[in-house]
Amino acid sequence: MAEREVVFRVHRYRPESDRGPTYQDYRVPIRDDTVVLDALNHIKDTLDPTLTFRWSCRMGICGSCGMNVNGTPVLTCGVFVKDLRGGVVTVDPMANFPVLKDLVVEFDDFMRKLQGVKPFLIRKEDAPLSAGEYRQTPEQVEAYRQQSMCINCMLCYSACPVYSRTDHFLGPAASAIAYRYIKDSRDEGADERLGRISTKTGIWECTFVGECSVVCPKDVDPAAAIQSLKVLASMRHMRRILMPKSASR
Amino acid sequence: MLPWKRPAGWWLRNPRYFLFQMREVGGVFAALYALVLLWQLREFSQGELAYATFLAFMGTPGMFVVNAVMFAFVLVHAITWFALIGKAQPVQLTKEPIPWQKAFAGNLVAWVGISVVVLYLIFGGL
Repeated sequence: MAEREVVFRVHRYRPESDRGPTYQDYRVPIRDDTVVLDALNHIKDTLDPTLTFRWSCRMGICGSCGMNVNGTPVLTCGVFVKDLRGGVVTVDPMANFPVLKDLVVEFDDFMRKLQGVKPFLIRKEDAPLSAGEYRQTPEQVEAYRQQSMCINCMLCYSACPVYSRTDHFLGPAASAIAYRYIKDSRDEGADERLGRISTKTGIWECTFVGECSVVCPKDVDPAAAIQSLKVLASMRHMRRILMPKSASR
Repeated sequence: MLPWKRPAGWWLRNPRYFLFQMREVGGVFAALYALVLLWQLREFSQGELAYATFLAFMGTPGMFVVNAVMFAFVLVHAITWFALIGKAQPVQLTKEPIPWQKAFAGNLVAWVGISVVVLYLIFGGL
């Protein structure tokens, strides 16, 4: 396989010595099957061991290697260098997050928001173990299957111009995961979650830019999930006004 | 830690961000046009002379350009929203979600149809 060299312009930031971010160029030999993550590993292994970035599985399932490549949020393990346009490949950390070092971002905000929507089955009363598992029909699984594919890679947060401006917005992934549990027939926490996402720090900042769904590597479609949540939250609100006694508080 | 700072001109870096901003600005132009309509109603209620003055003013080249710009933005606003309608279908009418292209086309056809009816009513079968 023919090799050629491609220039990688990589975002550097060393908090102990740098006052601000800079870019550093590296020339990397590329083959047809080289992905951006391979190139970064080549830099770290042979050119500059100080370069810092996150990665783990190399197969698009761990969600660790998200970065902005030529300005677009991607999983770097899933992008072939040969498919990128232009002579220079620019690698930035994901946008909309503070940078800890080089290409590594701090995502405590996302983790707080994810915990806030209680991403687990809520039961009013747990069935005894002897009753066996909670069963579902294929149709019931289908109701939430798409959103359950989320791998928490946060590319959607990096793509969202609303989150960029208003960090109290719950954001795409946490909303999609809230929707995933609300639509799960085994779950009984819909009212609690809808209450959480109806607050000022919930979903209402979303103006349906739709870029979260464009960049999602797992086709979760958070934008559609948020619009569905808006309808569900509005219905819950109206129910509480019209039927205050029957609506669970 | 390096805090996040949104770069100026972020919406020029991606054609989809640009279209989104145009859609949002289109909402402002739609509101402006609503004000023009209210103004027109007011002048209409003031009598024949006031309304004739209003019409003459709206016929000037400057106002024609202003109207054309408002119309263009309202078109962008409407069409981009039509494109989004099918992408989120919280109220599902069919068993499988309708492909967004079909929902988009259906909305466009309905919109053009209603516009034709309105034009026919105003101009009486031109």
